[in-house]
Amino acid sequence: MERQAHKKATRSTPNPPIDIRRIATQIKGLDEILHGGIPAERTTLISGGPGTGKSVLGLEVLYRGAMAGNPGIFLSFEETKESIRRNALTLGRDLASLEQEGRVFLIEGQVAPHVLVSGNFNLKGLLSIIEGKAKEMGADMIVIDALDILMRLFDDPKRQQNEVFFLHQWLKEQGMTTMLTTKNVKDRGMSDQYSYLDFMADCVIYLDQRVSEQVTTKRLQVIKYRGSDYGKNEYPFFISHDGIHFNPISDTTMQYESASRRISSGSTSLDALLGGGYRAGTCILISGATGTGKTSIACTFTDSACGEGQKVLYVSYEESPHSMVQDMLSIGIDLRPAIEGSTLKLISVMPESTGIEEQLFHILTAMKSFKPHHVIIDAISACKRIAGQQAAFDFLVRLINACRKMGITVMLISQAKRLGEDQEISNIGISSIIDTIITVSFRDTGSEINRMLLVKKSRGTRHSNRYHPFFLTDQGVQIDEGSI
Amino acid sequence: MAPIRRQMSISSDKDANSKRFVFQLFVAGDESHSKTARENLRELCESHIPGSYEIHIVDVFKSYNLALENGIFLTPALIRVSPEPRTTIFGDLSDAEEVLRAMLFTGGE
Repeated sequence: MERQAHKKATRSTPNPPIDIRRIATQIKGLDEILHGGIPAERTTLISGGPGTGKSVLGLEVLYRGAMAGNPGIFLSFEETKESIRRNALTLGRDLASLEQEGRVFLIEGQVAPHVLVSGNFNLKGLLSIIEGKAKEMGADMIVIDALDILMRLFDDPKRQQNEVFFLHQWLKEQGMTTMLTTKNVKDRGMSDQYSYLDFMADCVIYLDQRVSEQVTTKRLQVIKYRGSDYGKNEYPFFISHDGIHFNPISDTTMQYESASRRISSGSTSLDALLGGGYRAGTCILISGATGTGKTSIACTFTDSACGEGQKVLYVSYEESPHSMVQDMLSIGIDLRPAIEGSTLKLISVMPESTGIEEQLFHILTAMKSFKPHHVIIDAISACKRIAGQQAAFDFLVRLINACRKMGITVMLISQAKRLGEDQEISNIGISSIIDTIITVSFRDTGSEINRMLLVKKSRGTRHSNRYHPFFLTDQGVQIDEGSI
Repeated sequence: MAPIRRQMSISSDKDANSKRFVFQLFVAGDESHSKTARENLRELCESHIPGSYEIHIVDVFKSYNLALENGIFLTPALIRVSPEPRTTIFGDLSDAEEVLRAMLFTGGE
């Protein structure tokens, strides 16, 4: 097959590979995991159980490649052309117009489960079709979906293996960049009848879907990448109405930069307890039972920062923007000017409606476009409720990391049922990256109920270890001066 | 196993054009399977339906669109175009009984 002179599709990577050429998948996050993309003119195997997103991934890579000017073929042994087009539309991908332009060609390889057979046969028919079409289109990208279905026609496992090797070799000789998808439900460690595929392919990707604490997460893991380094972890992803999304991978080393600048909490009395205010660019945790005043403290800070012209992104899992604004008015905080002046961006999240990966994605996207100085998450306990402890922890770590990298202050609000519950957060290892912890609680003296505030931790500052009563006045949060 | 229908009635019915068999044999160039299939088919036709058949050889490497249209991913592949129903069988046709059963006997099994 003739190679077109203008064949592109490589993209510069931060760490250029030694000698292998890659085709960027153009899926953000995935190219980072693959250190540039899938291997050009080689076979990438996408393997996984049913419903894990194998065809979607293959289709997405093909689609983006076609949009970037690299025509490709999608051959499925499982679905009809109509069904492929329909599924693509739910991801916001219009295949029909690409087909009309000759940039994508769909082949439906409907193989009946019981075909009539007499004597020996091989895959050459398939090869002739691929060769002919690829030449016609100038395509060097092909996705073969559900190869395992075709392979079932060869009863003998040895035969199957030989035919697949033959196919693989032929595709390589033709210079085709191939993605093969097969169903595979094995555990990583066990071998099964398709393990030879792992051996044969140059790049092997497993997709997995797990239900943990009633939440389903899809994960991708690169098992093998011949001639290249790659991200070794399991990376969660989600499929939405506009394709596949990976959140940026977390660093293994978390850089801690000491911030010197102090920003006011919005309450001079609280600033005094904090040695001048919060440290910009650090991580602050405000923890306490319902109604103790956490949101008020956060909004006191918000009001003050916006008043100084700083931008705040406030992510609320608990209240709608409207009800929050109303509640804050009762303690003398008017957030409306900041909202109207675009220094405050209020995002309301319905926790149960979207998965945690998607939420992280939206928050990071908002951070990139709005470029806030400070981000407030009200409340992280909602994340744990919807996604389980491990996922919530992952989410927090990546969010905090992202904020640190951008020098953004992140304030986390956590609803703790009892005073010691923030210990949980410490126990799962977040405490080391939190610089300031403020706990608020109620104290019932028998004759009155007081709100109490304790600065539990304030890295780099000498702070009081005493509980201080505080009030929510119509001038915001006020610590009882007498107690300081 | 279905009883084998007597093929004598088909081969001797020379003036019945409606019983003329038209086959498309898809082969991959000149490879050995293809040669075997052609020979086997010719022999079967000559033995059972002499003078009542047409064989069209399609080289998938030359006519990939035809292969695509007919869903021919494996070769060799034999399609009986006529009489209806259209039937496909894969392989070099070395199992004569299978071929006869699928291809030469219309209607019943």
